Amino acid sequence: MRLPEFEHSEPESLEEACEQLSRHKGEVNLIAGGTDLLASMKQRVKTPKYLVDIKTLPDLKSIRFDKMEGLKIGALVTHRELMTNREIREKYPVLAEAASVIGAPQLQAMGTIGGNLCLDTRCWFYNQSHWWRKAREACLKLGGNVCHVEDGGKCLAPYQGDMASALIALNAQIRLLKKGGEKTIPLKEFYTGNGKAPNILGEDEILTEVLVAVPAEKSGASYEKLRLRNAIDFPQAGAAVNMTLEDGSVCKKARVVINALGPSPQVVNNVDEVLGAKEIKDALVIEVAEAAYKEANPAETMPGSPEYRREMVKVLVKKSFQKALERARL
Amino acid sequence: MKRVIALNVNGKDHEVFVDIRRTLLEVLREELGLTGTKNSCDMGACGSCTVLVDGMPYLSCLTLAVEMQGKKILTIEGMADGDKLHPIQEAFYHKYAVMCGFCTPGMVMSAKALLDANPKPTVKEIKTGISGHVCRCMGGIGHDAVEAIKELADSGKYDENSSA
Repeated sequence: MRLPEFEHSEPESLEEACEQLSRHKGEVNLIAGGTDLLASMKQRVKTPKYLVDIKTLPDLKSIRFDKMEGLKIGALVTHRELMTNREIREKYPVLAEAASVIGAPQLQAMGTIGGNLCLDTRCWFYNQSHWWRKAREACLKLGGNVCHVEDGGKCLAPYQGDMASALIALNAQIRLLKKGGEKTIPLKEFYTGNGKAPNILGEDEILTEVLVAVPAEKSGASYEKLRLRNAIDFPQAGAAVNMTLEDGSVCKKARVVINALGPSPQVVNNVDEVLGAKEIKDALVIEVAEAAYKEANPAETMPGSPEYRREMVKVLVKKSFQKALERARL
Repeated sequence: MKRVIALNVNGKDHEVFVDIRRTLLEVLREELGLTGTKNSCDMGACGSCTVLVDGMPYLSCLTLAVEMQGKKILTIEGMADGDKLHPIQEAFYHKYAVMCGFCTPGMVMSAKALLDANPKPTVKEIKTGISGHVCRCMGGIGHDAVEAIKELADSGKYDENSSA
């Protein structure tokens, strides 16, 4: 499949990149790893006239850790770099873990953390070739008025990135840059919950950095992913857990994030209430898993029935919780 | 829009005049005649187009050729030294880890990336290392290929500088 025609530029600075993005607003796309964008362009799901390539920029490629300020990851850091970085493996094993289950070694070497966070939502009525899509009326995500999944008037295409839930569990923040301004927002607020426009990134904006605080004492985090094969595939469901222990067996604070079920990663409500100040036992972990199950509401947007994927949320949360607990106890 | 692109493939410098929308895979196969790298799904889901870019396994079907300037690209054609097969190719040959052979060039490149980074991988690490490949003959992931790589690694004969 040939790519559609476009013009390609390699700006020499971030400012120049922002300038080009704002100049061609409406018909431009940023390209970094390109693993998602080029596939979508081959399918003519996206046909930008201009591609602004930021890979050649010297910035945004570092992983820095400071005992006071925490972790700063440049948006162009690849998944493979996250998996192999010593500081990440020691202090934020959940991030290395989430990166290691993305795609396959090739996609890990090519794809970037920024790209994974900005991943477009996916649906089997959307990510298809032009002739396949032509057989049906255009769906909401393609600019039409119908949804082939459910009649709700809202696009249900799920966000199928892996990094976001792990990072949201760690309460990460992101830095967004555009011409004339920069802002830092919690990653959780980046996602809109609408499959059609899954995040708030402006077309002239660049996600430049991911910031994570120093992990709390006695805390641990983990990510679990469900997919058809143990490689290449996007998640059918995922769960990240981050918890802080008190007295070795009582959980002071926990955050459970589930993903690939709806248009944005979901933070499970009331986890702290469920945990109370009770001693952590298997029955309590199952209660947490049940709380996540209640909030999961997958639609039929991918292989694997929604019922199965929802049921598996329990398993993923349980596994993830137990691994996070082990790490917190270390 | 066409542009002159300078590529270093298998240690040789090439200049091609191509449309900027050409992928690395298309340029390798159609401009440079290096048809050892295979095109299968063309969507980044099968691994048959894998080449090494500065030692890292890349899917050439999802890589723009224009973005590869100044990088060192290694394809399956650059593995053997004349008539002498690369140790990984030799291992695949002796273990019959090739059936139809369509996925093999990509898998050999991934095996090289794996062994260069980790010369003594466990079976699990080998399976993960070539997990980005789909092999229709040997059942999803090539079990004979896993054995071939394991045997080569265990023999201690693998040296990343031996060729290529």
